[in-house]
Amino acid sequence: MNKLLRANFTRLWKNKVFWGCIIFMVVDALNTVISQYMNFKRFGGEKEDYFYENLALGQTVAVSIIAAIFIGLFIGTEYSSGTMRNKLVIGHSRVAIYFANLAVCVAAAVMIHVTYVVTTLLSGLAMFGGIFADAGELIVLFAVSLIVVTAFAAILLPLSSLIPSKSAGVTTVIMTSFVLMMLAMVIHSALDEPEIYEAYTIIDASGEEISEPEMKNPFYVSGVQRKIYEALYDILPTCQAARIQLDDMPANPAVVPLWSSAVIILTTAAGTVFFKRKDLK
Amino acid sequence: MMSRLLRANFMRLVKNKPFYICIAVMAFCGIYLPVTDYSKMIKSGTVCIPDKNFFAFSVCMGVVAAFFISMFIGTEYSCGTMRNKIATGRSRVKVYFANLITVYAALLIICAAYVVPYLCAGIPLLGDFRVYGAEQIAVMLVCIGFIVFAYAVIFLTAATLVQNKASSAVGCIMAAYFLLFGGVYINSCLMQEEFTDNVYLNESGETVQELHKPNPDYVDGTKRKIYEFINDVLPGNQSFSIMMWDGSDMSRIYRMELFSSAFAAVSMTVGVILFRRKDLK
Repeated sequence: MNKLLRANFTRLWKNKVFWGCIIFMVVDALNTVISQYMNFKRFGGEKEDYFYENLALGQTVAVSIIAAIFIGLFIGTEYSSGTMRNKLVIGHSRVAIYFANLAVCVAAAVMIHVTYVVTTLLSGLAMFGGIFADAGELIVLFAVSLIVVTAFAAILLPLSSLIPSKSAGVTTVIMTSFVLMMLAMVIHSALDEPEIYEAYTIIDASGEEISEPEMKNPFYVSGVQRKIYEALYDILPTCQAARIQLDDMPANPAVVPLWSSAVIILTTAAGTVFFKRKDLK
Repeated sequence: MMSRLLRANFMRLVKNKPFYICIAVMAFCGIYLPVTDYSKMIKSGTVCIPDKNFFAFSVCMGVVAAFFISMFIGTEYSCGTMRNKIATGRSRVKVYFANLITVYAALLIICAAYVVPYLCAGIPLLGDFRVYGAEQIAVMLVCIGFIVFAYAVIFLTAATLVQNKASSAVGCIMAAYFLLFGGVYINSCLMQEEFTDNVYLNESGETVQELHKPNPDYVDGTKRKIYEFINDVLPGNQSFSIMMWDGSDMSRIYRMELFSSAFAAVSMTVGVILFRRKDLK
């Protein structure tokens, strides 16, 4: 497997899409920090309100899309240029090929993610003059985000490995990651609905008192549907990424890496089984 | 002579899998949205009207168009159809316009795949339209027709100029998402009120109200003028505006139709000129 890994990483360093993704993340991070700094200059207030600890992890969900583009094109090229056939013909096992591809895809996704985090922290440090975060908490969140990013790669690789057409593969992988991202947004907003709207009284501009009694929220998700949503919110990597971004971690943060690890193991096992059985023509 | 090109294109369209996938997805959305609204109405007692989601499909059409067109036109290159058409003496302008007519017709059929199931399921379940009149619905559907035409021209031009099917699919789909999210972002900036009234409960449970407070997110001056111009011109913004439209200010709908036509005309001219000069190898 060493030779496969070496060949994959050699191809990675020369891959234009990979460097394109890295440059995109650098530009995105600089844009985020500069706009936060401009808001700080315009509206004033505390620096912590603008360069908060989650800002560096603010694109964890977006990494799933960027990683999808890279994985779709990188693995698709293995098929379109005959590399996959050559690897098999010279005697490498399909399992070894799959794990070598997984290693390079995970490494690339992690590097893309780390690029954003490091650029944000360094440019933020230069502009705001400090990192206003609890170092321990930031390190824990960053470690969790690395496992979540690994789970993205583990989910997308089987799709890409099982579709030999490069264009169909890359389209499927990108669409899947957008669907997972949308699903995370829908689940988060559904779970965020309060069960009850509190009663309140206000005095409007004309001095008139307006009162609203306590009301049940018709959009509150309850029962079995809530249980399913909560389970998906724990399990899906895009939901986990959203939790990291929104600082909405569960009471026990270990739940997130545990579920991510389960997703990695399951998708890798399924991917290996199907890839072994696949007719590669 | 263009009739032969058109006949060949439509023959291919009838057998095209991505076309049927798009129809299936849109038909599913056309049924799912009114059925979900109906179940919400039964469960919570809130009133749901068919007007709310009827034009929601305009938002998805960018991504659907990008997927379908990049796949359909990409195959022209990957299977050598484009070369054969040129080799048998068809002019590039005719090839471009035959493709444009085919993809636009396909996109209109895909729109119908949403509209017809929505009406069939929505009106019996949710009742008649209550916000929009028949004339307004007709004008807005025509406006969506213009927006879809603009999408067709943009993605056809991109897919015609990029010979690699996978690259063109990635480029078109990502461009569609950028247009969509750009539209959402600019619309949400423009929707910000200049002054806000906040009412909240403080830690001791007392109601606190802050009336007529300046909103830091309000966009004004030159930036607002630029945002408003972009909002009128770009199809992603137009799609989102149509979805959020409250039935007032019909002049904006006519203005969007005009800008869509102008945008499509410019993109089409650029597309034809570049396609005529392109080295097809």
